[in-house]
Amino acid sequence: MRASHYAKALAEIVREHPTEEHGRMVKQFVEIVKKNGHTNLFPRIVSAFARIEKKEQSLRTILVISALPLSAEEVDQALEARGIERTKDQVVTALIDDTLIGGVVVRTHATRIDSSWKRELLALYARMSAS
Amino acid sequence: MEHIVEKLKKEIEGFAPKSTTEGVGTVVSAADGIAQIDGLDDVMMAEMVLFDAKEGKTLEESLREGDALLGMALNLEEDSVKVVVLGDASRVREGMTVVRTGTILSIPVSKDLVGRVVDPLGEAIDGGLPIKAEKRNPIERKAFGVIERKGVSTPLHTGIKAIDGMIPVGRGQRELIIGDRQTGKTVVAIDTILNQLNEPADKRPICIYVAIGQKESKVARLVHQLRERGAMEYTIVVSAPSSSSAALQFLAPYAGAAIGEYFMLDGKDALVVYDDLSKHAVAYRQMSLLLRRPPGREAYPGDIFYLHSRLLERAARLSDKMGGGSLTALPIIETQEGDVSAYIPTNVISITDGQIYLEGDLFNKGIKPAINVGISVSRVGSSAQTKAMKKVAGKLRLELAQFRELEAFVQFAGDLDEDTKKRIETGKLMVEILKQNKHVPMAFERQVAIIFLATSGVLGKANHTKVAEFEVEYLRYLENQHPTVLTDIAESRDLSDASQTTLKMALEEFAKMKPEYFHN
Repeated sequence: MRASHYAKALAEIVREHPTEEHGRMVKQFVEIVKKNGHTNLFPRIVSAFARIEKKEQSLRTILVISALPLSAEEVDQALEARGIERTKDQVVTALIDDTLIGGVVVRTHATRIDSSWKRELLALYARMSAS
Repeated sequence: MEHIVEKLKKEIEGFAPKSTTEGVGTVVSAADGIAQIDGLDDVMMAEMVLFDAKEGKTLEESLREGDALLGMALNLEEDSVKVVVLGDASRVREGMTVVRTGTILSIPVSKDLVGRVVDPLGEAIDGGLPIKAEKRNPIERKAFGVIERKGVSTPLHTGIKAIDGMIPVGRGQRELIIGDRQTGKTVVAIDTILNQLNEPADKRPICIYVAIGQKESKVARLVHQLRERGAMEYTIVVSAPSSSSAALQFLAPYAGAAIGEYFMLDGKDALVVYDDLSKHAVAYRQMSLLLRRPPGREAYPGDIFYLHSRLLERAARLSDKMGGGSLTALPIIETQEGDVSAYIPTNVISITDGQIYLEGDLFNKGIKPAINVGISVSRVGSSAQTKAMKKVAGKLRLELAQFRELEAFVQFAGDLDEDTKKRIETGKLMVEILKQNKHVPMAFERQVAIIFLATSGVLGKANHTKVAEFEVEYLRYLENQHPTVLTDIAESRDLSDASQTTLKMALEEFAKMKPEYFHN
């Protein structure tokens, strides 16, 4: 049994049970690990669990990055314009990155929709220096 | 000036920010040239990915940023992707965005590569201008099938008498050069490249020398030698020196094959030297262990055989329908203490169409090239040998083998019968005739002339200690006094009766003129 298996099982239990039951579930989990004689795996289980949680969080997060602050309406418009439909459990976070110069970058877990001026200007520079 | 301004104006007027959708991932961890990536959904095996070093940097800083940092996806795991960094791994940071390119790792290829020194990604490293790419060839590709190939029938002359005479190599063949360190493996390969100068320009193959894990000083020296002799006119050097990452060393031979295939598919002949595959296997082992792939025998991964078989299978002679081009492979393997039964040597021996075995003992005895003809073979090359060479060298291997058997009795020469003594003398002469200095490859017609004299018995009275000088002087005499005989052999690729008579006659004349090369 690998630490990642324990971590995955714990993450699924946490997801499937209400928050008030989490304390009891974790206690039971610790007992099971002890019973299996795998207490030495605890540090690795913790880091694997943290990794899973980080990934889960990243799957739930939509980043809207712009050079200037955007209102909630503008954020929604930016998502709509790029055909992104947000689900109930997804969280939209607006970030400011002034290096973008202008435009918006929308980033989900494995996709980036880049319509920033910086990218366009870099592409323009590459095209001009190539010709 | 106006042209530039106009172009600039057009670009600016047409400028409108557009959206690009890219598959991305995030670097979770990076160590020893391997990055673990979260994300990169649907990434393909061996896909090229780009580490976005420009994220979070100003436009000015982004423009100052160096070359694009590439990686290759190699381990597609359940919840992450492991990528080998192809370049300066210290530029990879945790949290960095990695962008999919959607293409399998490929390198730019064009005729402009000829005469250049490039890295395994096709970038010039010789200080010259950037190379203009005609297209991109995938680093990994499936070898051509049976229908697309035809038999090996054209010789690839190495310029080395012992090889062209006894272990002939054909265009499209894979012939292994194997031996301990410092036995002249690279010299055989380089002489083969140099010898192509003796071939007519239209039949001369494009040569690709792939240096894997070599010292940069050695590669520099080698390029200098090739350039000095005019051989860089048809040669490309792909270098992944020992200072480069294991990933680049792993890619180098595949890059060489991809370049060779470009010329082969253009209907040309190409020769690729992989120097050497032992270091290649070591680089792959390092990479596999870092990727946490299960180790097998000698800690090499399970697919180490496939690593070399898929590379060497790409050597081929294509059918006329496919353009008739060829890719000949000369892989090099370094053995330890002459042990050819080690893991990697046996793998490569079984993949190739023969091997040229270089022996340390012969080298130390002064027999150079130190080829052990007893265990060196060419499985397909004989069908590519010219008629002329077949005629003169047919008996060579047998006579040398007989000599090796009798060699042990040389010290009791006094007690031996006349026939045995004669065989030993002939054998000694053969050994002397087959000696050759490094970087002095000999044109095929000259080899035929010399081997003819040795095997036909007319050199019986030659002074064994002066064979090398005799060879030079006799060939010079032949060129001056009987110039047509060498051109006849070169053009007809055969040794006619008339040519044989001329060669014998020339020897008689020469013997009278220069008696010091003969015993009375």
